[in-house]
Amino acid sequence: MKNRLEELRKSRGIRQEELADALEVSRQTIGSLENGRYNPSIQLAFKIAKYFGMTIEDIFIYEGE
Amino acid sequence: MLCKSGKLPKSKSGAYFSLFIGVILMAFGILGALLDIVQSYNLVMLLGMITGIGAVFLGGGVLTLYRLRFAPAKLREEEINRKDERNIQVTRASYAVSNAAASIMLGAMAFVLVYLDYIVPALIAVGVLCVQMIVFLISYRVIVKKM
Repeated sequence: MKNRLEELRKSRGIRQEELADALEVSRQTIGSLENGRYNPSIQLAFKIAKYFGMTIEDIFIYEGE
Repeated sequence: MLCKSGKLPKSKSGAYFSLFIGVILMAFGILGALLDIVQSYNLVMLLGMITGIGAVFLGGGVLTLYRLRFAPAKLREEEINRKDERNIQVTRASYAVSNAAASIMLGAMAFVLVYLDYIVPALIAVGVLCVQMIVFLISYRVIVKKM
């Protein structure tokens, strides 16, 4: 699954640490999400979407298996 | 979350509870050894182990109280790391691998012990393996009902 997390974060001038702090996850998790190594739980996906004021589909792109 | 990691007490009440348990265990172990309640060497060793566990609880409690007092930011960071969903998944995966490795080693150990004619330790190893499987089945059933 692809995501636009890094693009959105950088466009708003937010550091990984700040985003991690706001979402109450570790900075490593943000890094893994941005690299596409880790897919978030539905709860975290909603938190991310809420943080950016967007829908989950706007941020995460499902590409099938 | 089903998997809750982190062994040290993080809250103040948890720290005080840890201190209390530590003091009780250490007092039991030290007094038991000093008052010559037990004579045999293995029981004295057991009291020593109880004292050691007590020291771990006591140390954990003291450390947590110290950090709550002097480094609350660091403690919060640790709390976030502990609750972090990716960390929890990594921990679960590591537990699964280590559990599988432990099962294989226990099985192999039973064979080696039988070969060495240590029948009782071999039976204990097989017993532990059986208990491990029973715990797995019970926990599986409980978790399945929760999900």
